[in-house]
Amino acid sequence: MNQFRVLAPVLAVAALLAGCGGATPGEQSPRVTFGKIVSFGDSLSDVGTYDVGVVSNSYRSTGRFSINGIKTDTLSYVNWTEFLAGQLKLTAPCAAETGLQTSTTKVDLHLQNPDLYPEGTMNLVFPVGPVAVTEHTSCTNYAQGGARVTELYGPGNVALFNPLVVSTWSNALGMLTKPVTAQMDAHVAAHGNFAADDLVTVMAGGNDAIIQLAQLPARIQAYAVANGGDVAAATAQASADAVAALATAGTQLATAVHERVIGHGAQRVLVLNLPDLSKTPFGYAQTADTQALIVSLVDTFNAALKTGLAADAAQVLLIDTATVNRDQALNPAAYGLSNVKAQACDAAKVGSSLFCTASTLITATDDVLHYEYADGVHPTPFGYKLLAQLVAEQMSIKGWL
Amino acid sequence: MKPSSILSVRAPLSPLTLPRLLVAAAALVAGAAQAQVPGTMSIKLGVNTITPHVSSGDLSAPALPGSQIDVKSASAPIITAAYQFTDAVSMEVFAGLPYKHEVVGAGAIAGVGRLGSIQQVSPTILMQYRLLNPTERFRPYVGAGLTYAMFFGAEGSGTLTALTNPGGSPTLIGDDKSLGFSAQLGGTLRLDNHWFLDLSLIKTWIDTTVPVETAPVNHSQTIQAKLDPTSINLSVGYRF
Repeated sequence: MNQFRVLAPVLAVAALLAGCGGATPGEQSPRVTFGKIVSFGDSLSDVGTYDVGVVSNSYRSTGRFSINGIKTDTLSYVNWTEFLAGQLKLTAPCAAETGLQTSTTKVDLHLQNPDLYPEGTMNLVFPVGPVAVTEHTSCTNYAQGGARVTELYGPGNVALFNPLVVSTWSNALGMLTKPVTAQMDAHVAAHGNFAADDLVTVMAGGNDAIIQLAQLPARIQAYAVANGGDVAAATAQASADAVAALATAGTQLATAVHERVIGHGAQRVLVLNLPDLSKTPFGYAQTADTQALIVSLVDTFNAALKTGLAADAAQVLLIDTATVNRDQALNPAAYGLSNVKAQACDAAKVGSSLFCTASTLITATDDVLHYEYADGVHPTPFGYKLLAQLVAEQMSIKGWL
Repeated sequence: MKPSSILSVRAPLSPLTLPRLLVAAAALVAGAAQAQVPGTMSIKLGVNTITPHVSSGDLSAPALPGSQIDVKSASAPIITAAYQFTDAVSMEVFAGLPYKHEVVGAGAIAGVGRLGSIQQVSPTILMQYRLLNPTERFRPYVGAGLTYAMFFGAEGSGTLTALTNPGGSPTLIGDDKSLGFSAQLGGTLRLDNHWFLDLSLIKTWIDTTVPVETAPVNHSQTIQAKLDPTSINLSVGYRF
């Protein structure tokens, strides 16, 4: 069949075309060009406010609330804002303010361990003293571990340190815990209004919940004394107070974004809601009742935040980290998480992931680096990477990436 | 009136190049009726639009669960060669220029936009059965055969990298090859003894497993997708 010879060149062309062209990266630039990232919040966005004094000198930490100084999937980013800056091809974020108000007041170790220490064994809680607070005007990550929305004193603040109460000793570290509202004001004071090409990130509320939980026993006791010993009623009353406080904090954060960020010219603001603290090693260690209260605190805060930001939808991208956080707890393998309940840092060696490095991890047979949590509440770098992926996904849908 | 006697005296065609064919075709004056009769060779040139009807699996871990893809339609010129075995039975081979399909997010990542693009050629061989008498002006036909899809030259995007490896090296999309079954429904409208118009609709059942390489970790994530495209093509043909 000579006529079949016509087919030969046709097939040859097809074969030739199939051979050409390998995989290429394609256009990697975001659809929106950002000039810089300006971050406000707490430890979940902190990139080294406390990378000084005892943190860097004694523990060789880099001041992130995670596992410090390790590589995750070949990348050295730790915090989600660092992953995001890398993706947006922006300069790595750095802390706008550094310092530690570490207390030099000694405590009696006998209070902590009467068997080991005789009365009057006075010692420093942290072996390195305070480091002066310094502003870094070229850096625009204002997030500080321990920061609350508007309240001055968050976990780690030296004002909460009482040498006579062992449970407060960790506050001797003297974290600055500058409230989110004050962080926003500090940026405007130093740089004027936000630039049109700023990407602003806001994530807070966790410390407000933690402080409420810490105050709960005292409040229950006070109500019980007042009502003649009805502990159940006192618990309900104290819990309602805590929930109301989180509703207020959620509204205050929304108002702060509206007035202090958008009100000063910001055009693109990422607001991450509060992850579900009950689905953390800290949360799992609580009683069922407390876990239920935590869920209520988180949901109340997030609902108030969402309501408060409803009118700012053009400038605000509200990211529902709580829902994804809950899904990660149910569905860890899909996210590549090897453990969502235990912490990767050895609690016997470091009280907080702020001090955690590769040398203070628990020894585990499974993949510690792909644990979700470094300590009781803070993600590992891999956990932050997953958060960055969620942010990237939502930014893509919004047309910002 | 069957023109087989006329055809039988024609010399076999040498493998002509396409331009020569067209010039020759233009110079030809319509002779006696030559229809789809045994031994007839025909060539068609046209445009084909492939519209995948994607049923996507989820991107394998680590990923936001339910991360899926959709593959957009693409058009490209096609060249088709057919050989008529009997009055009714023919064989057709499809080839053509590559199609470039946009790949976008779907499922849990619906709305993220373009993840990249993928190119493919999918040579197809079909056995066809033509209805009605060969001398009819319009002849519908049905066909069935095989499609071999070769994907190549895939391109990623910043969004794909951001979703899989934020801040890291660009994520690449790999290639795959896949064989599928095709069914065809078409019709030929005879313009004169040589020229005809052809319209056909082809449904192909084909799966692919797209490798997603999160460089430089080489996580080698994959996403499986049933593409099951429908193709619609309109061609001008010349019959020898």
